[in-house]
Amino acid sequence: MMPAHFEGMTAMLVTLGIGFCFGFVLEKAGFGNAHNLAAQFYLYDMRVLKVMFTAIITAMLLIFVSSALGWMDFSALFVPPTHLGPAIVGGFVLGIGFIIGGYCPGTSLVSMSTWKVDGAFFVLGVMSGLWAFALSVPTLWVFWNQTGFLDRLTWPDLLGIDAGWIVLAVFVMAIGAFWCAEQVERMFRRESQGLAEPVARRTKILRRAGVATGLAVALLTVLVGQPSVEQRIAWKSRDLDKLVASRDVFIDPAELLDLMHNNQIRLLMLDVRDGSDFNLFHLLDARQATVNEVESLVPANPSPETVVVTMSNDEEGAIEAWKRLKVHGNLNAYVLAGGVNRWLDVYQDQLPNIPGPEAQPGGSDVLRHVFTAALGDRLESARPPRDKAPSRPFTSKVKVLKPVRAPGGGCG
Amino acid sequence: MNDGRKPLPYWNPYVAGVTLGLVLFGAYALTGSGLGGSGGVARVVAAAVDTAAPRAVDRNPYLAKMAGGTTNALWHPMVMMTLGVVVGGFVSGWLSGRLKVETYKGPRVGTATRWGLAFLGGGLMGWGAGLARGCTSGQALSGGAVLSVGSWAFMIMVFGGAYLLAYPLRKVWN
Repeated sequence: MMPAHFEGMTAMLVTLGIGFCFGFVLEKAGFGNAHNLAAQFYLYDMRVLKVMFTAIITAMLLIFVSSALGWMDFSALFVPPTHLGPAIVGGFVLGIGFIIGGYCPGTSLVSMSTWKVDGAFFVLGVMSGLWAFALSVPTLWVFWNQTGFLDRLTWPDLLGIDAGWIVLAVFVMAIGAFWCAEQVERMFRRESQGLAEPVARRTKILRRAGVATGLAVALLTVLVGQPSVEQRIAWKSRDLDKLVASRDVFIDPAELLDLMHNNQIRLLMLDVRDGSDFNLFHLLDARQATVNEVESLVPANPSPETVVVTMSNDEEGAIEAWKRLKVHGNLNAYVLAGGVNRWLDVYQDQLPNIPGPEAQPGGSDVLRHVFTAALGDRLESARPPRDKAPSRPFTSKVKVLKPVRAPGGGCG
Repeated sequence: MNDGRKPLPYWNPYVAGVTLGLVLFGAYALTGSGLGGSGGVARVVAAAVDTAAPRAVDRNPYLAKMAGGTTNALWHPMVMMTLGVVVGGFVSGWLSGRLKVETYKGPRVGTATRWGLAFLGGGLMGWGAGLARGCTSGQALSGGAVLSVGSWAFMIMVFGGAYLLAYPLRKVWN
């Protein structure tokens, strides 16, 4: 299933190749020439709008139809997080820079690489501007990070309807915009452009075929619909079941305790038991949710230091939650081996000979331990201090996606 | 190659758009993220500042993220993307006979003025791209295709800003 996942040198070369195609097409589209870009805003040549929106709808149709058909995992794609304040102010400043300078950062690189002097000056300007922005970051910090921050947010998320409908609407709007652009160009045509040539019959047929194909793809996307979480789990079930069977994602209670005492990571413990069990006892800082809404407790673009651990009384519910999290986004998620029951065996009852994470628990996901009061996390076993907890050897399984910073430093 | 003759014409905008869309889709399918124009340039800036004044980088939250401590700002896919854009643009310009030292400008402004305006416009774009976390490539094009709400707000503002100043600045271009 797409997207492919490359690492190291291969990833660099793949991106280099994509950049090459990008630069090549920008040049061929005429975007290395400031006249073509500025013309958009004097209405006699709407090349910028045509190229940009054709590109957006082409990619959009392909992405969402692939997602509907199960060829592409949309949750694994990077969606630029929404920061409304900076997007609006930054976009406005960019627009002003566009009409003054005649390029945008990508097109100025192409202009410079074809030896245009104005393009080179523009690139120097972009570098100075980025440096100036770096200097103003401390002042703008709160605005830049907080104002209108809505995280990963797409139009289908916001409007609560299937992405197919949005795809269809954007497609229809774009075709309407192209039609308007053709009319406007005719109205604002310059003498220097000469008389407008009539559109050739072949071009007309090709245009109609393009619109019909796009419309068919958009309708197919609406018809099939974006997959539900259950469907995505089913598509990935072979890989997920293999991971569960290998028990590589189950971590020992002692490893979880170690994570709880590790201040270099962001630990997110998700407890999917029902409210009454949770109130009787839960680990300190664990958050409760039912299996079906477990995604709501996870940030949309978690930082690379984030480690997620799911738990239920034994393992059944925790495994279901883990699967949901794995298809929700490519999260660094694990399951507490033996669940809360085994945790309590180790840290509450301090029983000897508790098996390691390779051993599957026998129970049917109910709380085996008896509590006389709903103490929640007020027991010491909710987060045993390191020196008092019974020491228990474990093999570390959690892989932190970001290298842990070297100790020391701080306020040096 | 096309030496000494008239440059090849630009592609039909719709053909160029579909091709660009396929490249954008390819970027998502192969790397999981879209295209970018300013990200790589920002890393080049960070690397330059890191060579001249490494402590200034470590004290600045924006630059430190890219080049703080022992991190090499240039060893990043975004830099490869920028390098690819430069080479791809060069090859296309070469094949189309458009490699020529010249300055594109409106008929009523001098060359030096045009250079100054290009630098100023670039400066505003660079500053804005830092604030908006991306430029027309990374935000408008890529974020637009995956229907990000912030990217669409950004895109509308770019066109709004440019159209707003188009009339007062008409002498620059016409």
